[in-house]
Amino acid sequence: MKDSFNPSIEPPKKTVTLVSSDGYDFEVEEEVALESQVIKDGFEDKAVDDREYLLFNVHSDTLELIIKYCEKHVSSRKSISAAAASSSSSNGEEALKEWDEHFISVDTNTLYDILMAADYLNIKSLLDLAIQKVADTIHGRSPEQIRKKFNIENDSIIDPWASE
Amino acid sequence: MVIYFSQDIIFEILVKVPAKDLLRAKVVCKLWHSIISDPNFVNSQLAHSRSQPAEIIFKIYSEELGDDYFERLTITTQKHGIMQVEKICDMKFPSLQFPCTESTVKASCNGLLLIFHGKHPFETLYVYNPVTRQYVALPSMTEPLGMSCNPPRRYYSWTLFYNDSVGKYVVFGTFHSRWVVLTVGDKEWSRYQNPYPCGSYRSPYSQLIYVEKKVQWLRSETENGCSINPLECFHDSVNIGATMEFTRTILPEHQCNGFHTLFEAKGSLCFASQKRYWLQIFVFEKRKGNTNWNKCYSTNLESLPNLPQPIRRLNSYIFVGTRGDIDSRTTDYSDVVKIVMQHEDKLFYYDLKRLEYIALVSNEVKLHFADYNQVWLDIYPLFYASSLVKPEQDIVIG
Repeated sequence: MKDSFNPSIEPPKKTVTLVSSDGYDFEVEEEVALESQVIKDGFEDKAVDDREYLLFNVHSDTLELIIKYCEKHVSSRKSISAAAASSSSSNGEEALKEWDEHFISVDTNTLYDILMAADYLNIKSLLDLAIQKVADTIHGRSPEQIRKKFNIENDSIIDPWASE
Repeated sequence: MVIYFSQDIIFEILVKVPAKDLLRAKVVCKLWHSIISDPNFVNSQLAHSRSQPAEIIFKIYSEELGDDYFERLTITTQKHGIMQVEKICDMKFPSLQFPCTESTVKASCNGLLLIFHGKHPFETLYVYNPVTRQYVALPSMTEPLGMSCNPPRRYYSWTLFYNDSVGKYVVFGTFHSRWVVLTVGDKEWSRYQNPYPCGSYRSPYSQLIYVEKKVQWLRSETENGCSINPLECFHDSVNIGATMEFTRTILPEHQCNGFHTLFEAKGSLCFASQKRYWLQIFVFEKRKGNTNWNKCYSTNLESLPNLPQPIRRLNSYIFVGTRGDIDSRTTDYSDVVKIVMQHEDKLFYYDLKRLEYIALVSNEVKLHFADYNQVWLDIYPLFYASSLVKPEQDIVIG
């Protein structure tokens, strides 16, 4: 039971359960789940006691990463605004950028999974991060290498680069 | 594993790819080809490219090698603020009518360059996209500009800008008391005389900057650059429109007889003046209903920390107004200029905000200053953002 008279005991955090496409449950704090615009929109529409979301398009491996990303961003935002409030210097944003860079340095398939999950869940900052990373992989590559990377069939009639 | 990104996602990915890489990406498949060829895509890619830190093209003038020799280098800002220098000669210039190796970049806008190519009096102007290699050769002038006194080419001042009221690119040049204007695609140059004619030649001593629908420059009434007397220094501008109205105002009281840079920052016209160790930055903006020059920054260069020591010559400083990497939310003007300085055979880029300098030239690219006493920086900073924009295409920037 909630003890509202003792300020040292924080009220229990509200949680939400996310269910991956392969049937695993992930219990996360509400504010972490609300990083997803889709969950946020659904949350506002739904009855308050419905706290389970079935994510048909997100595999548990990817969902774990997505939750890790959202948790990091929620906690960093808090510490950045806390530092700003106490006007102490903070390199929070720089550090978060570095963390993001490290986070998104994954193999191609994982990257694509993150991109599609971020698109499906509508997490704008993560989607931008993943899109930039995929865009970077195009840099300096030949059309044939790009096709391989993106699993695209060559349907071009003329390919002036084919001889390379 | 089979990946099927939606067309929207592919569009978003390709928008963030540098223009140079898009030429190859275009032949990957029909879908990618149709996305990249779409004018909306070209505009979105340009908007993204412009939001990135701009590349800066600058030239180094060498006394040793004569008036017409320019080394051309570009500074590319890369991730995490690390600079790279490339030779702009690596950009492929179009095959030209006259076999001649002399070409100089006069102006840059939206990924297009205005190039002057050929030996006097057979110079031709081109509007050229170095990525797509598409170009338009501009018509020659029936009466060549300034032909009578055979001026060295570098005294011509040119600019290239996008005129959004007609949706076309416009080339503007000035020399003596005249200026010429051509909308790219038109056959004839329009010629104008400024209402303050003068006898000996007095060319602008600053870059021509297009801000708020006006081409603007600094000019003095004495022969050698800026006058000692501030009352002889002027800010001229031509309103680009039906009337082509010319206006002249005097400059604020500033440290004259030094080095000046005119540039755009945060959407306003700025000018930096330097004499001895004093750097001042003025911004042309509206305050209390009047548009005027207001001093927004001033510093003693001698007091700057972390300078490469000893700075050999004062005239090796050049101020470069920045664009693209300015934080528009602040009113701090220390980030609107960066100082390019020469120290022996090396170039540095000094950041007034971070109070530190970065060597511009990596080990791979040497400046080849045979004798650096004979070289000084003659920099027209041109901001370049790579794009697939066609020289003659009507575009709309969203």
